[in-house]
Amino acid sequence: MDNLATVTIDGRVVKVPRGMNLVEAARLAGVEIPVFCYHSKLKPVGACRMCYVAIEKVPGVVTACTTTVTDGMVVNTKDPRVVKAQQGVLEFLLANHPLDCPVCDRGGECPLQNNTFGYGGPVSRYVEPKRHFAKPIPLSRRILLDRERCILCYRCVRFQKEIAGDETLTVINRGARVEIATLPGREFDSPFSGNTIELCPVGALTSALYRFKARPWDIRSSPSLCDQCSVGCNVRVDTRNRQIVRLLSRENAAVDDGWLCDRGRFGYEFANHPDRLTQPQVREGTRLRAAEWEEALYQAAQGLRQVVSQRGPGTVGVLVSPRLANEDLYLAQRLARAVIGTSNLDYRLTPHPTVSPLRPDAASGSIVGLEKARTILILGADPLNHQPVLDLRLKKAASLGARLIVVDEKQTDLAAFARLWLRPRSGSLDTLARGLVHLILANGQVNQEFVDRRTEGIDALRARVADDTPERVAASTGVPAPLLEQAATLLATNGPASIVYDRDLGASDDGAAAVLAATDLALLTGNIGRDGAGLYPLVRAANEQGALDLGLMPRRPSPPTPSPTGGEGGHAGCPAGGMTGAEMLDALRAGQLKALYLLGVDPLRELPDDRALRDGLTGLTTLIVQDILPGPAQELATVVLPGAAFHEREGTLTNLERRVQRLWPALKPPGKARPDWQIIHDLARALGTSFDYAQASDVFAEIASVVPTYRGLTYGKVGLKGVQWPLDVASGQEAGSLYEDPGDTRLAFTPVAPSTARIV
Amino acid sequence: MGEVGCSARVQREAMAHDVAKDIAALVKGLATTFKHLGRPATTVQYPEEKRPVSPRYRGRHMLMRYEDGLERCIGCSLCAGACPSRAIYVEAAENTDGERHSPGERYARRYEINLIRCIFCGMCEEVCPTQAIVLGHDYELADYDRADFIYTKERLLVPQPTKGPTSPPTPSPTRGGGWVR
Amino acid sequence: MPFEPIITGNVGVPNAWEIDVYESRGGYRALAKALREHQPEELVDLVSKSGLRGRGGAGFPAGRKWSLIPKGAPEVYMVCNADESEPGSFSNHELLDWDPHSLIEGVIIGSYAIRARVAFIYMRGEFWKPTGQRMEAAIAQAYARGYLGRDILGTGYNLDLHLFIGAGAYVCGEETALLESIEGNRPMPRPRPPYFPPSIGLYGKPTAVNNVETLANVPHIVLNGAEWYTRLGNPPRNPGTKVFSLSGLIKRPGNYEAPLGITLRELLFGYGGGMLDGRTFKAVTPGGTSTPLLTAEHLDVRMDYDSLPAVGTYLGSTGLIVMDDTVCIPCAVYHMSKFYQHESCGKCTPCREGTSWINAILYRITHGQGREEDMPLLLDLSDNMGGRKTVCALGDFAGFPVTSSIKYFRQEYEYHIRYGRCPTSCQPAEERQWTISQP
Repeated sequence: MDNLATVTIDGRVVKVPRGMNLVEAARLAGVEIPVFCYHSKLKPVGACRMCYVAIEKVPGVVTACTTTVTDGMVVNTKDPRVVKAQQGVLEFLLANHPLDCPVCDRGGECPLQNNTFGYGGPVSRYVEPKRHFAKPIPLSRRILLDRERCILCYRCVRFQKEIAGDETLTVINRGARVEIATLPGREFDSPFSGNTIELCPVGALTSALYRFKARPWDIRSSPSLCDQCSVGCNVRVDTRNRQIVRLLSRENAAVDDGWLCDRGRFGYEFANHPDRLTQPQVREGTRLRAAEWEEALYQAAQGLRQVVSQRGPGTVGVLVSPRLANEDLYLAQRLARAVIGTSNLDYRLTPHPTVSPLRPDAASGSIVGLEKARTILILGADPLNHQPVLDLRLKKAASLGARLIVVDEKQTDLAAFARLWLRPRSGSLDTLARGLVHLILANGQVNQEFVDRRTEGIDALRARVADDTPERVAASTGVPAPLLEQAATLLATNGPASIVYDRDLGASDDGAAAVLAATDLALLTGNIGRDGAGLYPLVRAANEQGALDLGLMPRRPSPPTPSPTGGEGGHAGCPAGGMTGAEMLDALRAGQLKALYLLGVDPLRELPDDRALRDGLTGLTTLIVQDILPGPAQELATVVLPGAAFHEREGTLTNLERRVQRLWPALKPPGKARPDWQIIHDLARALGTSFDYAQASDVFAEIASVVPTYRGLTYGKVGLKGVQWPLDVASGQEAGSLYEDPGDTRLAFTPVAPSTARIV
Repeated sequence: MGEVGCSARVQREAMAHDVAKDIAALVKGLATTFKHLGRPATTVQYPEEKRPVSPRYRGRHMLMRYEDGLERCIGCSLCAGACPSRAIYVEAAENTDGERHSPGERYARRYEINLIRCIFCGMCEEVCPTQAIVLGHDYELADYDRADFIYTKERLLVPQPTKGPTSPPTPSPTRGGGWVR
Repeated sequence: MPFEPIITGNVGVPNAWEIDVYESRGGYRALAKALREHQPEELVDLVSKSGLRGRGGAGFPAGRKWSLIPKGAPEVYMVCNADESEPGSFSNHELLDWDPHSLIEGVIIGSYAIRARVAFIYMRGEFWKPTGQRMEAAIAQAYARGYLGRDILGTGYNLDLHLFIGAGAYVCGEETALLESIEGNRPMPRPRPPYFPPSIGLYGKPTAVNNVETLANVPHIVLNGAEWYTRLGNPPRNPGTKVFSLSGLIKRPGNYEAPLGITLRELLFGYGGGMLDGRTFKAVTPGGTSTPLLTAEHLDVRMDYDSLPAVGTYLGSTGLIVMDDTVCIPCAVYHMSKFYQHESCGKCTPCREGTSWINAILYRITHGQGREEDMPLLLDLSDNMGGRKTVCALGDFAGFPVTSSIKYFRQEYEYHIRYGRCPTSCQPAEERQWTISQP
């Protein structure tokens, strides 16, 4: 009661939180108040003057977006004064708005059209000449601005300032001559610029890619996911003529908050590419020729069989892309381990990084949990480049009051939003992180209660960082001691605190030690296992987390293989050892591999000038390449199998916060291409196994039954918004944070030297 | 026999009556024939001869042009949206300064009507914002090949106006001053 | 009427802007008295008791404004609005020109009263030469004499005063747009609520925004007491004097300090010397063009904050533009509308589109292309822009000259529409500059 206000809107009585504005309150009451400039994610400005309402005991009409509710307020949205004022505003807006709706990309889904239809007057009394500007001017390669259509709601300018934080758009001139513009001499070069297209309530900002491609009634829409990075933003795929015409945001507050980055929004052109593989191919002498699936699969199976029988399974390698869906990855590892009998299996071509010893190997908190953090340590991570929409979330956290501490030698995008920016010299990240551990121990800022109850090994830690005094750390990192002191104090006292770092940081020596020290920092300050507190090792590829969860690497416990009768067959038949991706490349260069199965990976694309690698691939007896587009390795392939892109298939991806989300088929794969899981399934059958999955959900059901962290998940549960594993099967609740339950197992401070902490 | 004689008489009388009636009918019928002998024939010698259709007749579609030769169609797809049998396909593209098909920014690069699906309801004409699509009076639409029922833009578009030597060909370069709607 | 000017006392004194001259005429004595003898709350009370009303136009009691500043707020700002841009008003300009120190003194006392540590004088960009330069020099002199800076006059009170020169926009006279401008943003008014300067003002902190004349009155009230002030002008609700700017077709245009409550007749015919020879009075803007017109029937109305609203207009910033019988009212209003379409900031729709639409209609009417339906259209557009439908009052201001002139001079519009020319011998307005087509 105390923080709820009772308001009456058009006779409907609703209780809404105090401080809520009237537009939102009316939405809760089921009353629509028309708006142009108001957007729930942006601060209200009251510029368009469309949202007039009449309030009892208040003279005249007021704008709903700038009015907050008070208890007992009586609001009328249909008052004659309101109706007249809204008609007036629409007449003003349309006075200079061109009536080129038939050629406008927004026509048919335009708020100005809708509001005019719903609230406008019958005719315009405007007889003067309209304002004219040159028709669309490019603000950037991606975005066109039609200044005639602009109704100056300033949503785009406000988005860039308030959400993206880069102020790449501005307003110039005055009165009726006002224009939206970029900064002088600059183009609209924000990495989030595409969101302004969706925010624009008219067709003033339009996409150059979508220009004249389709009208809303030509389009078929399907929910999907962006597969460009590990955030896993939810998208709506709009297709026409079996082509993607655009991607729109499909708001999922837990993941993307309704935003997309330009890489995700505009990066779909590969899927429409005219060179897409549509037909299996087999080698005939020096060239590839088109073949039917049966023949291609037979040849692939024969090639594998031949190598396994002649040279042994240890000469066969399987490399998979971490952008493939969980279903593909699961079947790929089953094919490798249980069918071919090799552990030469990996999802990456570079050495594996050292990771935090905490298990499971995943972010402990959630993306939305970051908003609750009061302090966020960003350690050698640049989300703007690798997880752009997470960058927006961190900026949002900062605007909600979180203190950001950026530790990076480079000036990352977030440094401008940080309370503290520590710039350690190159290669001294570990010293700095240990210095923070030392300071927290030395200043007595340890969360003793947490340390006593949940952790072990603090004494060893104390001894290990004894030498990392602020003076020494300052000397070797170049970061002044007072700054270190401030950072340590913020982390220890301004909780909850989260620690965000790039998971690949552990690939370098100083980074590896820094990652371990980051775990120590979280445990020392008790910042783990609750909202706003956690360790976030940021993975990069769309389903890298899924690859980790499903054990797509050698020397890591694989999911148990189910026996043919359906029960769990344990690890039977799972060969020990095996090579990582990097080791496989070395073996290729040395000519030690005889067969290779590439799923969505092309080593020659990553290392185009590596002659030894090319020779190694040429020397393979069997090279099966499964991909959606041609690549250099295909020229050397014995069999080429065409796969399906993200929008042509069913499947699930697991994002950086352990959220399992679904893909839906918006289109059929082109030509004879098939979803990857189906190809692996068919290949396994061609190899004589009894794989029998009728659809992707069958594969997922098996994943859920054999992978403990995925227990209880089904396509139905995952639904449109996804589920964070692990699911509490009894209550059906997803876990926002790992390590919540006190339990018996204690969390260990990093007990070992970094070099021995390597997992793979 | 009297019975018989009576019935024979009756039969004769009836026969005479019938003959008279037949003759009357014959005369009446021939009268109609003769009446029409002098009049002009109403049979239309189709296909040599064609009946005029109502001005509002809805036959095959045409894509119209402005007097200066530019296409009226701006590729807005409203006709496709309004079509109840989904018979229209429009693909739009952008006019450039060097190659202008229609006024404004946009024109129809492809415009196709599937006349097998079309029900000639005229909704496309109704909804067209530039009066580009008009249902004409052409009703001779039979063909031998189903594919030939897909009427492409080239077949739908009316020819360039010939009157006046000033009409530029379409597409043509944008004239000075440009087009503004 | 024997009358001693209060705030224009130094106008016309040679070198009055030099601190020595100002001090020799009793300057900065009020400051010493205020800081040494009064607690800040006492000063707020004193100004409240004096009944001084804000001279910016709205007439909000200055003491009440100061008392709205939350007590104990850690950061408080004082801002002096010296962005006088109203067509017809030039009183602040003259005061700033001659007497910058009296404003500085008022700012310091006001800042002390609300416990501000930082104050700004926001001056219109066009005033830079010589007014702004004089103000800059005057502030430097005040710092040098210890009236500004740390430990002012040994009382332990610290104040920094910054002169902020605007880039020249009418809307910066609106207090929230002014604050946006100081913050370095595009000057667009903020919606109120939630932005209400005494609670959320400059940089989101409580801020008092006062007009030049208001603050210039403060030292005199401190020296002479509230009682003295309440006897001036038209007490009890309109005490004190006001500087009226007379311009237009009048014999002696200029600034005149006169008691509030003076009749329009005395102002025009007494101070202003009456109409030009052979002309008769037709209309006047009582408070700049942003207020409804007054006509000959209103000559006996008293010029103060309460009498003018009774006849449907406002005192505003007391810029009286006098029009006589040679002036064609529609042409004059057309010129006024041009000002508003040029100065609308473009933030909210009704004002942005309405001001240029009204301007276009008036252009047609005054250029022989008026239509019968234009007059009701003008009234309706003014209604759609006015009545607090816009963020700031510019939407209302732009409509006032239109509606009031149609009310009093409808027949002149009808003449224009019917015959396509002016009913008087007025020069036709120049070509309309209104094409913004650009490549």
